[in-house]
Amino acid sequence: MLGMKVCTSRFGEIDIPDEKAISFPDGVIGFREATRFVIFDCTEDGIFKWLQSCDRPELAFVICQANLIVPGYQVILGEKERALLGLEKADDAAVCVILMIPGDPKEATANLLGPIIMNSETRTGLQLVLVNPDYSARHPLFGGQKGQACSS
Amino acid sequence: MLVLSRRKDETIMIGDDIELTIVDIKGDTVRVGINAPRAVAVHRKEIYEAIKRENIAAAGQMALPDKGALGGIAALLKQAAPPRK
Repeated sequence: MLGMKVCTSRFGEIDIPDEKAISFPDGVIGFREATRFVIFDCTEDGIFKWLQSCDRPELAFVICQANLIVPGYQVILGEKERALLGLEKADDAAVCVILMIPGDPKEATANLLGPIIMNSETRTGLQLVLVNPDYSARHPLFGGQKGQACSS
Repeated sequence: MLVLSRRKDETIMIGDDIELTIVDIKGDTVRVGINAPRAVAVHRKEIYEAIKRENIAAAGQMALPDKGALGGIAALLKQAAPPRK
């Protein structure tokens, strides 16, 4: 099994089998040069994952499935995105969002405007820019304005 | 930057296949119609900038994985919206 060593600021050096790497041909917004990532679980239940750059040790995001934050969250992919992902079946696409988690977890927000879409078959991903005015780049996980994922 | 004056219903061509039409002008708001091939990404710049800002902020946080905070969020999320099967 071929593999690579990935240096990370948070987790030290980790061994990643090549087939676990995910290619982001366009990088992510603000980090266009970061074109390879790996994913691993943050928590035992697997709800939260780290999206760690293979190219930049300090670059890692906490992500989770978008519909966990907003049930029914959907994105529409254009031809260009489908081609980049090599997407044949919609079911192959994982739709995730990046989380911002400050000291108080109740203040956590999710970036609903820039979801991360990954094709599990081709192990390719991208960050989408949505035009949906209902979504915010800083959507509060708790006590949100629309009562989504609100505990009260 | 090239600056052109256009009136309502006038169009600017960019290359062979991108058209920008001034649809309406009201006060300080201009409505612009865009015809472009599907492969061309068209965004409001402020949305792109907001995503970029959030990415940079999200990437700069949590110097160490704080499983306590994440576990707390997982618990809160489960309380708030049980994952649907």
